[in-house]
Amino acid sequence: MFGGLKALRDVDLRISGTGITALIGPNGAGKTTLFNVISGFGTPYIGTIRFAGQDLTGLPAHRVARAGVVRTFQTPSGFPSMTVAENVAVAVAGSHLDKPWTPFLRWREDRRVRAEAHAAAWQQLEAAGIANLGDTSLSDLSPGDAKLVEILRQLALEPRMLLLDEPAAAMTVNQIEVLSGIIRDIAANGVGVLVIDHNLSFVLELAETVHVLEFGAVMASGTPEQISKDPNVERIYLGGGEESDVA
Amino acid sequence: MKSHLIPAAIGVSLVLALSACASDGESKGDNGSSADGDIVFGQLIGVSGDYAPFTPPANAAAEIAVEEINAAGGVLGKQVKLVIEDNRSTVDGAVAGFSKLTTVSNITVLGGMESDGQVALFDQIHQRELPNICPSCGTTFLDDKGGKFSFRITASDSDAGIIVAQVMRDANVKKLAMIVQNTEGASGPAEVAQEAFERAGGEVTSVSIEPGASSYNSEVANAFKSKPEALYLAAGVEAGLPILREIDRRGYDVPIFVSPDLITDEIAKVPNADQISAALTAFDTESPAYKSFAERFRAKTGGEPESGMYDANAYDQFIIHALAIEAAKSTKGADIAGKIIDVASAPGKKVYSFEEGKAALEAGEDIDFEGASSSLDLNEFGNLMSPLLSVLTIQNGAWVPGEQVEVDPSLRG
Amino acid sequence: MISIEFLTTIATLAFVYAMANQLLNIEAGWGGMWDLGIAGLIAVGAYSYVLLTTATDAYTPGLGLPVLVGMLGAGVITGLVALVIGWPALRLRGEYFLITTFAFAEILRQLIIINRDLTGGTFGLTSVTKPLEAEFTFEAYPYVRLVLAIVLTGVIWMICSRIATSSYGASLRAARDNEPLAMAMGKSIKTLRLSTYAFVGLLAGLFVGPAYAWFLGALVPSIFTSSLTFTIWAGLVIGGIGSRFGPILGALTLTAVSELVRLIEVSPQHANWLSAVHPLLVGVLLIAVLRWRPDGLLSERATFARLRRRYAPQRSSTGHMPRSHHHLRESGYERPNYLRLGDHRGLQDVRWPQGVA
Repeated sequence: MFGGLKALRDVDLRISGTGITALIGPNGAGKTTLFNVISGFGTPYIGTIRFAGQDLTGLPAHRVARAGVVRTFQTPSGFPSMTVAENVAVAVAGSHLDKPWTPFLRWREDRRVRAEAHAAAWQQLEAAGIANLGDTSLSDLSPGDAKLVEILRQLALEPRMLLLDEPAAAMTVNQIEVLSGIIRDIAANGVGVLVIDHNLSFVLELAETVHVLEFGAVMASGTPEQISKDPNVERIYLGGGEESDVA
Repeated sequence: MKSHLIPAAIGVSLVLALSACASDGESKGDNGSSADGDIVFGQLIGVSGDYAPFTPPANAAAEIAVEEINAAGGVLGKQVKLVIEDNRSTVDGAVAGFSKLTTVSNITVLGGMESDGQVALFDQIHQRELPNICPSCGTTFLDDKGGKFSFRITASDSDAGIIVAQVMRDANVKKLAMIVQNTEGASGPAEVAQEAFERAGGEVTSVSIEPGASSYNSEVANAFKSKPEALYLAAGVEAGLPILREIDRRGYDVPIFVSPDLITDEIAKVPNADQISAALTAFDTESPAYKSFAERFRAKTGGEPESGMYDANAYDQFIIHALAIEAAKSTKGADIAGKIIDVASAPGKKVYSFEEGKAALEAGEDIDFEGASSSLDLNEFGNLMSPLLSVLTIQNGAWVPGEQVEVDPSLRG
Repeated sequence: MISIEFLTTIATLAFVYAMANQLLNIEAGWGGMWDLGIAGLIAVGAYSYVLLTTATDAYTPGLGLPVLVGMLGAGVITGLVALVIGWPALRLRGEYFLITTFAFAEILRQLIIINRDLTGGTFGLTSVTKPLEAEFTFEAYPYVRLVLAIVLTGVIWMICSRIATSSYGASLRAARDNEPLAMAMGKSIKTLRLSTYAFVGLLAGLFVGPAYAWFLGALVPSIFTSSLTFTIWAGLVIGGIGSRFGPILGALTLTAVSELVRLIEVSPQHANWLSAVHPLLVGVLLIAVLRWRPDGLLSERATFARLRRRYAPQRSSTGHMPRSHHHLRESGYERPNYLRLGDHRGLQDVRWPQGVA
C-alpha cells in the first residue's frame, strides 16, 4: 500500500523455480511492491505467496531469505564499513553464530567459520575476476563493481531463487551485456532467477518467461516473442511514452 | 598481538606518571596543615550544576567567616586559608572533589556539601577522621549517625514533620487529617509527623495521593470523613492546588498546614488562603551574631541573608570549626571533632564571634557559640537540638513570616 | 601541587567510564543502537549489586551476599531489565529508539525514587560493600580499587576484542550498515539487536554498576540522570565510535580534562570562574575532536584495518571449496552446483569499467 492506494490488486503468478523469469511494467505498475511482498519486505492484506510448497506469506524478510528466496537491491550500497571480501564473507558465514555469546561459548567454531568464510569469499572473488578488489572498502567501489559485488554476495547465500531488483539500472550497454551473461550463468547452475526491470530490450533478450504488470495486475504473460508482439505492451511502452530508458 | 600491549603500555605509563607526580604522600592521616603553614578550610559545594544558585551566598558567607578568623589572628596563631572545591552538584563530583581537598589541598576541616555528597562521603570522612560540619544537609541519614566527625547545623528533613506535630499540638488539635503525596519529599516528613503527633496523644487519618491525577475529590472526601480539626497537606503544587480548591468547594473551614513545597505565589492566591499556614527554617534576626554577620554579608554581596540559602549556616560552620581548633589546641581531626559540640552548645559562656570565643577559651572558659543562623546547640548526634522555624501565613495574597518556633526535641522519637 | 592519591581517585573514575564507554560502543558503535538510556542500565546494575551485597541489618537492608555473587546477580537482573526495555524499544527505529531509551532510563530512576522501602528512595543506599576492602587499610584501598577498575576495564576490552573479530560482531556491524540488506541475507535484526541490548545490560550489571558503586560509596537516584549518559556519550565520541581502544582513550581523556582542572589553584572569589572552565574545556575538546578528527581520536576504520592485517585473510588458491556453513544446508536443501561465476568467459576477460554510470 502506498499512500492508501492499493498497489497490487490481482496478481496470480507462477514463477518457475528454474530459468529466468522477468517482471516488467511501467513505473507505478506495482513491480517493486510485488517484489517487496515476495521477499518479505511487505505483507499482502490478502493473498498468499508460496515457494516450493512452503507458505511464505507474511514471513519476515530474514525467514524468506532463509527459505532460499534471496533478493538484491537496486542501489548496491552493501555494508560500506567493510571490504568487498568481508561483505561476501558475511554472507558465506551465515547467521547461525549471530548471538552475543557465540564468540565466547563457540569461539573455536566461530574462528573456523570465519576463516573458511573468508577463504570462500576470496575464492568467489577470484572466480569472478575481481580478487584485486577484495581489500577495497565497499564504499570505494565503482557503481559497476558494486553491482557485481551485490550479486556475488547474495549468491554466496546459496539461494534457490534469486530476485534481482532492477539490475540493469544505471548501467552502460557493455555492462548490461556482461550482466546478462552472469545472470544466464546463475540460471544455468540451477538457481531460479526473477528479474524486475523496465529496460524492455534487456529483459526480452534475457528472460525465458516475461510477465507484464500494469495498475497492480498482470496484464500479459508469455515468452519474450509473445510479449514483444503484444499490442497492449506496445501501447504501454511505446504509446504511453512513460518510459524513456528503452534501449 | 601488538595492540594487546596498548592497555599494558597505558597502565605502565599511568603508574610512571603517578609516581613521577607523587608528592608529600606522608602528609595524609594527620590532616596537617599545608606546605606554607596555613590551616586550610575546605568548602566542598555545588559551584556548578543543580545547586549552583545556592552557592554564591554560601561561599561569600564562608569568606566572611575566614576573614573574621584571620582578622582575629587566625587559629593557633596561623592564618586560615579557604579552598572552595566544586562538587558539580553530583556524587562523583563530590568524591573527586573530596579526594582533591584531602590529598592535594590537605584540608584540616570540611564544610559545605549537600545531602548526596555528605551521605556518599560519610565513611571516608570517618576513616580520615576529618571534622565536617554540614550547613545545608537535610538528609535524615545524619539524624542518628552524626556526632563523631560529621555534624549538621541546619534542620533535618524529619524536623519538617516534627514541626507539624508541634504546631498542631500547640493549637490543641486532637484529630488531624493528612493528605500526603506519594513521593519521598512529602511522605518522609509526613510519616515523622504522624508518629510524633500520635506520640503526643493525637489521632491521625492519613490519605495518600499520586501526583498528576485528574481529580482528588474522593481523597479529599476520605480525609474529611473523620471530621478532623485540622489538615496537613504534603504535596507538590501540581496536586496541592486542586486539593485546596476542592477543600474550598466543599466548604471545609479547618486550619490547613501545608508542606514547604506549597509555599508559592499560586497557593497564596487560593480562595481559602486565610486557613493556610506553613513552616520554614528561619534565622533569629535579633541575635547579635546574626546582626554582625548580616551587615558584613550586605556589604560583600549587596543582598540580605536568606534562610533558604543557608548563608548564615555557611558562616557559622567555619566559626565553629575555628573555635573547636582553638579549644582542642590541635589540628588533629579527632581532637577538633571532639570539641565541636562543646564550643557550639551550652553550657558555657555565650559568645557571638570568633574573637570573643577565642578570648574566652584563652581565659580557660568553656564557651557556647551563639551563631548567626541559630543558637547552634547540638545534641549527641551532632544535630541541632531545636532548629528555629518560622510559621508563615498568607495575608492579602502573599506569604508572610509570623512567629518563630523552636522545634521541641521531646517530640522526636 | 599534585598527589598520587588524587590521581588514583580520578583514574578510577576514568576507568569506570572506560568500561561504560566500551559497552555503549558495542550497542551504539557496532550495533547502531543509539541508546540514550545507558545511565538507566548502570543504575539498575549498581542498585542490584548494592542491594544484593548489603548486610541484612543495614539501614536499607540487603541480602548480604558475597561480592562475586552480587555482581553476577546484578548482571542477570540488569540483563533481564534490558530485555524488558529492549522488547518494545527495539521495535522502533532510529530517533524513536533514542527517545524511548531516554524515557526508560528516567522511568527506572523514578521507580528507584518511588520504591523507597526497597531502594531507600531519594535518601539512597548509604553503605556499599567493596571487594577486598577488609584486607587493606583505607589509605591503601584507593589503589586496590584502581587496580580492580583497570582489571575490569581489561576484561571488557577482551570481550569487545573478541566480539570485534567474531561472526557476531560482523553481523552486528552489517545490520548497522544496511539493515534491509542484512535482513535479505537471512539475519534476524530483532533477535540480533535485542540479544545485544540484553548482553550490554548483563555486562553493565556485572561490571559497570558495581565498579561505579565502589567508587561512589553510596547510591542516590540523582547520580543516574541523563548527564551520566551524556558523559559516556561524550567520551565515546571523543575516543572514536566503533573503534576498539577509542572508548577507553575517550574516557581517560575526558576525565583527565574534567578532573585535572581541580588542580588549578584559585582564590575563593574565583571558584565560579574555575567551575565555568570545566564545561568550557570539555566543549572545546569535543569541538576540536569533531573538527579535526570527526571519527574521534581513534576510528572504527583504523581499528578494523588493523584487525584485518592481523587476521590476514586466507586467499585460497586451491580449487578446493571450503565447507559451506550456510543455514540452507541445515534445512536439507540440496544446492545443485556451486556457482562458478568465473567460468563465464565474459567475466574473466572483461573488466568491469571503473567509475562508469
